[in-house]
Amino acid sequence: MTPRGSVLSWLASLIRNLFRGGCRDAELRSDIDTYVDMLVDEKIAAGLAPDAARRSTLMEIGSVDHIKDDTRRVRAGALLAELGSDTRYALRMMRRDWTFSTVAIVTLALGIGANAAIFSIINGVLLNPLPYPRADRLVLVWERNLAIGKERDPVAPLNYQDWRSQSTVFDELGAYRFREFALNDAGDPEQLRALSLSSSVFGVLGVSAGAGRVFTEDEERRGDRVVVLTHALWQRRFGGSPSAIGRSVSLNGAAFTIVGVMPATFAFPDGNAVDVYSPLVFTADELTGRRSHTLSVIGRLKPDVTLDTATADVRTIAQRIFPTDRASNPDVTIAGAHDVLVEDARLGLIVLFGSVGFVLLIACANVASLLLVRGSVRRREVTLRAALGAGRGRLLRQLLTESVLLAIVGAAAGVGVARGLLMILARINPPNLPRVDQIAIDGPVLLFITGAAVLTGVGFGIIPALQAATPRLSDATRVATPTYTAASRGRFGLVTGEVALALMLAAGAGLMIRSFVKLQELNLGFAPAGVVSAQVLLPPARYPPAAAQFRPPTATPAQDTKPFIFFNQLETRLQATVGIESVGAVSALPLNPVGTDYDLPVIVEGKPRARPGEELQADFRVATVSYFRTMRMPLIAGREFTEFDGPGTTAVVIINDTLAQQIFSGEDPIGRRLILYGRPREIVGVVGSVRHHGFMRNPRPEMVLPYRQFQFTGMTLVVRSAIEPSVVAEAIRGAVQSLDPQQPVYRVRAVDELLADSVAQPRFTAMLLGGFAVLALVLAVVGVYGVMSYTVGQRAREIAVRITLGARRSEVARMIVGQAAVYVVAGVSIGLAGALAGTRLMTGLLFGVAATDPATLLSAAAVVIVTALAASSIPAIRAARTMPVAVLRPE
Amino acid sequence: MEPRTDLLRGTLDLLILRSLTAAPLHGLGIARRIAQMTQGSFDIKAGSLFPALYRLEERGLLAAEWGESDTQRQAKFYRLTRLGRKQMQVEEANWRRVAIAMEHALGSTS
Repeated sequence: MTPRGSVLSWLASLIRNLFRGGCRDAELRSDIDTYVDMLVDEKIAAGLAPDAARRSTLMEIGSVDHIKDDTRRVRAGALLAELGSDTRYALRMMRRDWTFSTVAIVTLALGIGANAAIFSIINGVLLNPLPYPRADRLVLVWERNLAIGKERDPVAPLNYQDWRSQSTVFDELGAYRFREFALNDAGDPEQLRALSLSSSVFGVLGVSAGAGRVFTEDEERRGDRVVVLTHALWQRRFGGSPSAIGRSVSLNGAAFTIVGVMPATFAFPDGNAVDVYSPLVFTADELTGRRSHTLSVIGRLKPDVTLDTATADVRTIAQRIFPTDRASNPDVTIAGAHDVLVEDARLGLIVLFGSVGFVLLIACANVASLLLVRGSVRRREVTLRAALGAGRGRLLRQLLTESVLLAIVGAAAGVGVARGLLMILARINPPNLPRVDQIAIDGPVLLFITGAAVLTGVGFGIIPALQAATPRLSDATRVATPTYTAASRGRFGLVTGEVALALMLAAGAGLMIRSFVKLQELNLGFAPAGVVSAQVLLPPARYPPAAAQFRPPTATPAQDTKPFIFFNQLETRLQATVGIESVGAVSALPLNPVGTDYDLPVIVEGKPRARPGEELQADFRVATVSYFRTMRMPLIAGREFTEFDGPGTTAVVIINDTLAQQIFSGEDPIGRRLILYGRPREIVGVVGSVRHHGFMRNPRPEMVLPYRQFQFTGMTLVVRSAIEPSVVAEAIRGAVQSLDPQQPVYRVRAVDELLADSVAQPRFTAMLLGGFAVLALVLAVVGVYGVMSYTVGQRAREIAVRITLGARRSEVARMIVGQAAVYVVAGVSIGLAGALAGTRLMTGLLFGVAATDPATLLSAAAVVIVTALAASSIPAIRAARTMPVAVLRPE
Repeated sequence: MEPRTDLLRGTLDLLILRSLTAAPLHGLGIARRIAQMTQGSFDIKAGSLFPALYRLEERGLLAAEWGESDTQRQAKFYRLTRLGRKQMQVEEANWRRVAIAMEHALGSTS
């Protein structure tokens, strides 16, 4: 019988019996009844009286129920019993051959465990929906203007309001932005990270308060001072006391009423941790123009609306607005909230999942080749069973039960491996991996593991089983003779495949590691080592900046503002501290998501302006005099700011060389003037460009104003010193406290550490991929070693004969290594081709190194070849030491 | 399953398959046909026949339909499937080989 036919009909009958058990029983009964009736008919025809005929028939055939039972037992339900006995037998075999079982189980545990760990990350991060009702309907909306390279521009308040009132595709639309609060209550002053959000956001997300209530649209419109706390802040500052609700707290010097607390499980979908939610309030400026793009907009699509329909709908509104206000954008873009959250992690995780799949394939190949070796040992046992009446299908089932059982035991151990890996992951806690808290070995992961176990069990078992379950009666008596059979072809196919897969992994890991090294060596445009940064956000109520700085000048008051005085004194105090080399402050630190960071159109005095909406945009920042010096950003032309660039003197600006090249292309920019917020400012210096927005992104044009001429109340302090960062941190806190005891300082960190965060993801991917490559290499080496050892064993007599006939031992060793080399080289060639195709998928992960980088591919190939040949040299040496007498004696 | 029936099973299965080569038969018909084919050597009882029939049906070697017997009774008629026909040929060949081998073996030792 063909195995396919057997498996198919087995499945068919199992399904039949499961679904139509009762019906089949009735059928069986009438079948037997008919049989009895017909026998009775015969006897009557032969002349017996009807009841005598029946009596004699029943005596002849015995109990009808017995027959029924016996018959029922042969049906597919009996397969369960068969499975039981197969399993018992398999367990016996497993115990009998401990070495084999241990090697196989450990190999599978590593393969399956690594897969389970990565899958649980994928499941938690990519597959699990966001924790809101109908989360698939949540989308983020941005303004867009591809003509000036704005793919996702935050939304201007008026645009948000127009979208909300005019669009028809959303159930609800909401907006939010970050804001900082200094909490001055009982206890230390603390800087709180707040989300200012429209009350509609709660409706968009479909959430409500865990205790108390969320704020209402009326409160939002009136600008009431109410806040909703996160569960964490409620616990931390208010001990989780219900009486906190209704209380008043002092935020930025104003009294706010706590109206509610969010549930402990609630987290905002953008993954950033915040402490408090406050109503979104717009300034008068924001409601007169669309210049200031500050909002994130989140919406809930109506049930049948697609992303395309939604985009088209909002785009129509944006196109209507754009001609009336060129500071707006003519286009919009919409993306799923979950997709946006995980988009940076997605590719890395998919590459990791693919790689760890390779590891499992290699593990399977290893176990399969072990099974092939064992299959030839077990041939006689199998043949005997066949001779005793076991069909090929029956034998196949038995052998597959054994391999699946191995895989299941391996998988069980793999759960432990996965747990271990996830614990390590929790310790690393890659800061840029979103939703880390979602990662767990839960139902879907266990399902995945079970599926993987069964698939691998069948996967590595099927070829050896097919081979072993092809009994020839004559085999039972024949002593195994070493011949090159399908089995040895199968083994070498497996080795070639293993080598190819290991090479692909090694190449991928090599690329990631090189790319990571390149990132580390990257010139960022400043020297981060030895710099400590800290956030100081002055409450504007107590430290008002110059009122007129955002508008064209009328009469400039020649007076320093309170924020300037504060930071100036702070810098002077810190500068006087022993060990501190220099101190500066900036509105937004490079490679750090915190700070006031936006861009403005570049308007050069005396040059024709581009149409609004098509102008070059440059990042806008303010910095204190010694900021560039502290960060060691090189001055390329002109001068730095001085303490004389103040309210009464010429308005000045420093640009970076990216901007200088883009607008002056070769001309000297010094002395030219840029118009910023309606005021001409003279370019006094050009500084080197900084990779402000990420290691992988090229520097953007930048304009910097002196802090004495333009103030933001929130600044990042940078302190360069040769002393311990923790000591510097204390010095900063002390200096701020001495100036203003109510003023908190927060996020005090070494800039080095901040940078480590921004390469955390490539480092994480490189580390895991490197680990997988090493694991793959080890498994492949074990595979090559095992197969070559077995071959040497098989060829023992041939080798002995060669040595007897005068072959030199070195020749014998070379012959064995040569044989291995054929398969290794074949594997490496296939692997190189595979790597060339496969690593292309990684392009988005790589920095400064091409996906097809020949140096990396060749070194990976060299590593694989050397280790594989080294693995084959041990059996080769053993072959060379063959004692012909010992081998040939049994003849 | 006990080994004794294991050894018998192959024989009985082949006999059943063989009995159905010409035409579909019901249970009693199969038993009668086997008795006839083996010149009365094998008298298959219901206790062996039905488990064998159902087993062969499970394996897809036999198929069955209900029909009317020549004595006007509703009976289940078994017929060979394509797979069954193939399997019969395989087992026939096996059986012949074994028979010849046994013949030789018994002939040489006695």
